[in-house]
Amino acid sequence: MVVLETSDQERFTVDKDVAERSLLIKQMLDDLGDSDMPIPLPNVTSNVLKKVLEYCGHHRHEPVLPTDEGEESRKRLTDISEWDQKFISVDQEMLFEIILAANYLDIKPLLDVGCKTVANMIKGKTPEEIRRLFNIQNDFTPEEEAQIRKENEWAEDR
Amino acid sequence: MSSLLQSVLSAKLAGTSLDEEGRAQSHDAAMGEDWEEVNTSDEEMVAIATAPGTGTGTPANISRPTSPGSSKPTSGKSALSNERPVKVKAPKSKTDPLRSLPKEASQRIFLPLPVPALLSLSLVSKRYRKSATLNYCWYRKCLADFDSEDAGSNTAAAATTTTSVQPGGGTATTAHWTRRESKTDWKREYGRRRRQESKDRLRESSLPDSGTTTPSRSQRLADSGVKTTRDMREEQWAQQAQQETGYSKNELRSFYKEAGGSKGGKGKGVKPPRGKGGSREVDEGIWE
Repeated sequence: MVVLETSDQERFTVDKDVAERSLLIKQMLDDLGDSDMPIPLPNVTSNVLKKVLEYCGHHRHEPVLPTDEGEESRKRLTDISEWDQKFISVDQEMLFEIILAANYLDIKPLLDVGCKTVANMIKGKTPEEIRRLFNIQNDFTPEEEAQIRKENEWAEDR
Repeated sequence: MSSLLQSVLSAKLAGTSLDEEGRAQSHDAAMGEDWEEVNTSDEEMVAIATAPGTGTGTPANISRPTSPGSSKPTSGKSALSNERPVKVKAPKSKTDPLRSLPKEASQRIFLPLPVPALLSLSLVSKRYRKSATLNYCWYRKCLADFDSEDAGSNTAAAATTTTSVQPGGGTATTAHWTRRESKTDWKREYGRRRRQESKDRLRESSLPDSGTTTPSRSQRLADSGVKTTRDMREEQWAQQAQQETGYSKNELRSFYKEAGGSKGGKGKGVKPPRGKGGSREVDEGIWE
């Protein structure tokens, strides 16, 4: 068993193979050897870690791909498993928190699921819809916007 | 007598040059904020050199003169203009991929997106238009969509110019994301190649018998005496710079001179393109 401590000082006790879905934690455990010391995760809050551990628990028996599993699977935006899709159906803030945590904890498959989900949200949207989606302010002047539209014209006259 | 005159004159000269230095410094101070901006974005761009799948490290030629393309003219604008708009501190969106996620993650989001989505993103905001991460995505799109067809001209700058005989020019097969690439507007480049492609297709269909020995696009360009890619891009940059800033070439030039001067180093300053670059320095063509 491994003890993880979040930024808000909550402790989670989990099986080693679950915790080691995170390559960061795996590395730490390898470095520490056998020890009962809780592993501090100062960049993760408890509500996010709960979610992340849910993912790790579900995928605990899958082989850990040591390196980046390549561009190929990343390109296919649609291939998120049903369980993962349900898992990632959270509000947008949580989605971004999960991506941040997956990036920090080095859990590539989870990072992929999160990023693909965001990519799918962007796909097929107009600039204005993207702004609304992410709460971004349009800081272009009308002239600048027209200029970029003109720049992008090649896409239409194909 | 003459020595006295000389010393007075030299003192006077020293005075003026001091004055000028003082002015230059205060000018620098005034632009401090903008340079910071430029530096941050540079950092971001250089860091991308080790992005997954792009090979390792940044080649040694990162100190070559930068191109007046991407970020500098924008900062130049705000430094030059008097009615610099007060930076609107928009409420920081927690769910803006470019703002709240590290670039490893935002790259993962943007890289698999199709071209129409990337085009939409370019219209979202200034940050999105100028994002080094998105520029990198366009670069990868260029590599993926064009270079496989056009073997030998693995990247726009080196192989399609007339200087491709230089070391590393025509034969390199791997492309790296270096500072040079980061200064190129790859969305523009992608559009240019797209247009060129459809023009080529048109020409091919109008000459149905010439199928066997169609020269490569770059070859045709060179043969017909058309400007090389590099020249075209430099002209584009110049135009873009003017459109974006509204300043004349000379004004920009003096700004670049100053910018170059403040960074020290002869010839390191950002040079505005000089029409058709006939006699380029050798190092310009080196491709790593």
